[in-house]
Amino acid sequence: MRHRLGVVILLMGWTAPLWATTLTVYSARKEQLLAPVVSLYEKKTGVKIKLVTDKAAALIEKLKAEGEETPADLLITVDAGNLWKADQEGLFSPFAGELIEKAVPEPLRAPNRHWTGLSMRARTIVYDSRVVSPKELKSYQDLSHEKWRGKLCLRTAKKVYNQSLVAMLIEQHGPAETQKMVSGWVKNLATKVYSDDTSLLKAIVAQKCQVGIVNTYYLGRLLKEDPSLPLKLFFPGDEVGGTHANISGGGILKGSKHKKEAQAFLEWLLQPKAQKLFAEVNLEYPVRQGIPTHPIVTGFGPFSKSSVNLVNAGKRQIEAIMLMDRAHYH
Amino acid sequence: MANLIAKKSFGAYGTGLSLSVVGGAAVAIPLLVVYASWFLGIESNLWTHLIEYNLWHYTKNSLTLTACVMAGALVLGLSLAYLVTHYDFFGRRVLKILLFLPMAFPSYVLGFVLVGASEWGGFEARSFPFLVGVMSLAFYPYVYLLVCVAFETMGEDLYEAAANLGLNPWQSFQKVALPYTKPFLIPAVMLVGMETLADFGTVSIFVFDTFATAIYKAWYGFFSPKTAAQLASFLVTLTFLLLVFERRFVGQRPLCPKKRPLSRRPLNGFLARGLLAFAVLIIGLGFLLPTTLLIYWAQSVDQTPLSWIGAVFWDSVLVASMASGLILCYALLFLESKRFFPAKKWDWLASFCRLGYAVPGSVLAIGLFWGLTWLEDGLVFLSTLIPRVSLPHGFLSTGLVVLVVGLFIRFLAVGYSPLKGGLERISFSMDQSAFNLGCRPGRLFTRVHSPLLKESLMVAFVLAFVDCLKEMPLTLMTRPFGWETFSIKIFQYTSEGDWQRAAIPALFLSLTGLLAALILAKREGL
Repeated sequence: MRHRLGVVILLMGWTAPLWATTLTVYSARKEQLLAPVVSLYEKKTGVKIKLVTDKAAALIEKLKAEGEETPADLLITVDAGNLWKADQEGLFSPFAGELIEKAVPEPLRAPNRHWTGLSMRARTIVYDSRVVSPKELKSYQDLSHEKWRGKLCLRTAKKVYNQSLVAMLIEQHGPAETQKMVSGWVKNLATKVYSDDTSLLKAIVAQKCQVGIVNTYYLGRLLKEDPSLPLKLFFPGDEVGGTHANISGGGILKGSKHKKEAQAFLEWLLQPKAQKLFAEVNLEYPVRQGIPTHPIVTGFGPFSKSSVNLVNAGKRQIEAIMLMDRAHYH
Repeated sequence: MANLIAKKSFGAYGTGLSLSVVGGAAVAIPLLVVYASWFLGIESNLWTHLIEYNLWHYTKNSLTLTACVMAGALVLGLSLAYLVTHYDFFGRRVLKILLFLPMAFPSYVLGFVLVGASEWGGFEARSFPFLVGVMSLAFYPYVYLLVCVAFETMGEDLYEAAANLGLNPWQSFQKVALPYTKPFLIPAVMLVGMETLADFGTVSIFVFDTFATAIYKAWYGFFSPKTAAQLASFLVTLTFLLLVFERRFVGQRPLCPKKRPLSRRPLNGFLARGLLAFAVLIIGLGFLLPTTLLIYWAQSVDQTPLSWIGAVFWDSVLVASMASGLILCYALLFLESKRFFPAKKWDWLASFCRLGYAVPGSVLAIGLFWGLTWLEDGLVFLSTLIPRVSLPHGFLSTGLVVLVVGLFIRFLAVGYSPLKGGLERISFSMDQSAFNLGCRPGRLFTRVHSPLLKESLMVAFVLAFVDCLKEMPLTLMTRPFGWETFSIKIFQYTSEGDWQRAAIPALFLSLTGLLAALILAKREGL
C-alpha cells in the first residue's frame, strides 16, 4: 500500500514533463482576458497553449527557482515594472527579426528586445461631469493644488499601477518635486484610499469626491453596463508631459524549449486581428498603430502618451514606493 | 503504565514514532526556511525604510486588530453560548444552530459583502470598527462552539455548590463557570488570534495595513522575497509565543462527570431579553444579510457562461479532501505514538507543527517552494551518482504535491485539536485491558480507538476540509497548471472590485461551509 501511494505521488509530480510538447505561458493577466486570443490561436495553428496564472512576483520567483528546467516558454504580465524585474533576473531571451520592433512604438517595449507590450492601458484623470468642467483640469501635478482639497479619490499606493505612475512622474519632475506633488494629493484626499479602481469610480458617482486617477478600462467596464454614468476622462496633454500609458506585455523565456514557436505566438499577438481582439476584450488600447478600438474606448477620445520609456517604471519602482511612504500615501 | 505497554510493543510504536518525526521534519522545512532567510543577507536599504516608515505603524495595527478581534470573538462567543445554554425560550434549539452558521463564510467574503453593500448604501464601511466587527463575526463561532460544549458538560451541580457557598449568580459565573470553560475558551480564542495575524484578504479589502501587508509589500513591491521571509520570521515567533502562553495557562480540560444537566431558566428580565435580541441581530448580520446579498448579486449579474463551476467544484473538493486526509493520517499517527511515549519533547514538537497555522499563506508558499527546490536539487544530484537512475528536475516542486503539502502544513493545527481531545477522552485503562486480552497495537487502533474516535475524526476532517477550501494565497501561489478553486475565483473578481461576479463562487464556497457547519453542529449536539 505504501508503495502504491508513493507511485501515485511521483506520478502527480511528473505530469508536467508530459505536457511539455505544448506552449506553456506563465501569465499574471486574468485568465478570462487571455482566453479568447489563446483559443483563436489554438484553432488556427493547432499549437496547444497551457496557461499558468498567478501574481507576477510569484511567477518570477517560480521561474527563478525552476531555472533552465522551467516548463514555461513565455511570460505575460501586466505592468512594465514586472517585465523589467523579470528581465533584471535574467529570465528573458531576446526575440529575433524586425517584426516586433516595427509593430510596437519605442516607449512600449524594452530597448534590449527582451520584452514587448501587447496592449496599452492609460492611467489618467477621471472626473464627475456634473460638477467639474474639463477646463479646471490640467495634469497629475495639478491634482495636488489646494483647489482640490477634500475632492480627490485615490487607489491604494500598494497597487503597482500607482507605483508605475509615480515612477514616471519622478522621471519627469525629479524626486523632490514629485514628493511635493504626492504629499499634495494626500492632503487633498476626500476619503481613505480605495482597494481598487472600480470602487473609486463608484465613490465619484456617489459624490464622495470629484476627481480621481484610474485605468481607463475600469470606466469602460462600468459604462458598458450603464452608459449614463456621469463620469468623464481627462488626458494630460503633451505640454505637461503626456498621459501615463502602461502595458500588458510579454517576453520569451531563456529556459524555453520552444523559442521559435514562442516567438511565432508573440508575433501573431501583434497582428492586426489579434491586436484588436486582445485590446477589445478588456477595453484597452492596441499597442500597434492604426487598429480600431472598441466604440466605448473610441468615445474616450484621443490622447498623447508620455514619452518616458516604460523601463523606468521598473527601474524606479522601489524609489516610487519609498517616496509614497514618505508622503504618507499608503 | 503507558510505558509498560510501550515496552511490550516497541516495534510498532517505534515505527509510528519515527514516521511522525519525519512528518514533523516536513512541516518544519518551510518554517525553518523562513528563519534561514536571515543567512541570505540583509538588504539594508529596504530594512531602513521599513523600520523608519512602516513597521512601527503596521505592528501597532496588527496587535490592536488581533487584540480587538480576539476580544470581540470572546465576548460574542461567550455571551451567545451562555444565552443558549442557560436560558429556555421558544426556538432555542434553532437559534443555537443558527448562531453557529456565520462560520460558513470566510472572513474575506463577509468583508467584501459589507464593503460592497456600503457602496450601494452610501456609507463608509472601510474603517477599523467595521473591520473588527466583520472579523469578530467571522471568527466568533469557533469560540461559541467550544464554550457551548463546555457549558453542556458542566452540569447544574457546580452552580448548586456555588449557591450553597453563598455566591450570587454573577459571582458564580465569574468564579465557577468562567474558570470551568477556560480550557475550551483559551484555545479557541488563540485560534482566532492566529487567524487574524495571518489574514491578508480581509484587511486588504478594508485597506488596513498590518504586519502581513509589510510581508506582501517586501515581496511584491520591493521584489525581495528574502526580506519578506525575514519579516515573516517575526510573525512565526510571535505565534510560537502565543502557543507557549496557551500551554502554560490552559491546563487540562476538567473531566468531572456531570450528575444533572444545567437547568435552564426562563428568559426573564431586561438583560436576558436584550441578549436574545442581540443574538437575533448577530444572526441577521453574520448570516442572513450576507446570504441575501450574495444571492441578489449572483442573480443580478449577466449570466456569463457558468460552465466553469463543475470543474472548479471538483478541483476545490479534490485538493481539500486530499489535504485533510493527509492531516488526519498524520495527526493520528502522531497522537497515537505520543500516547505511548509520553515525553515533554512531544509537546514542543506538537506546538511547532501547529505553527503553520499562523504563517500567512504566501510566506508558507515561498518557504515551501524554496525548501522543496533545495531538497529536489539535492535528490537530483544524488540520483546522478547512481547509475541508470536519473530524477528529472521539478519532480517534487511541480504538480499537486506542493499545494497539498502546503495546505497540510497550514491546517494541521485545525485537524489536530479535535483528535487530541477525542483521544484524551479514551482512558488508558481501556488500552490496558485490550493489551491484557492480547490486542496488538494495530488491532488496538482498529478495534478500540477508531470506533471511539469516529466522531472526533469527522469533526477534524470537516474543520480541516472547510479551511482548505477557503484558503486563498497559498492556493494561488502553489497550484498546478490552471488549477482553479472557488477561493481563486473570488480573489480574481474581488481584486477588481467586481463584487457581483465574486458572489457566485462565494455562494458555492459558503454552501459547502454551511454543510460542514451543520454536520458539526449536529455532532456537537447544538
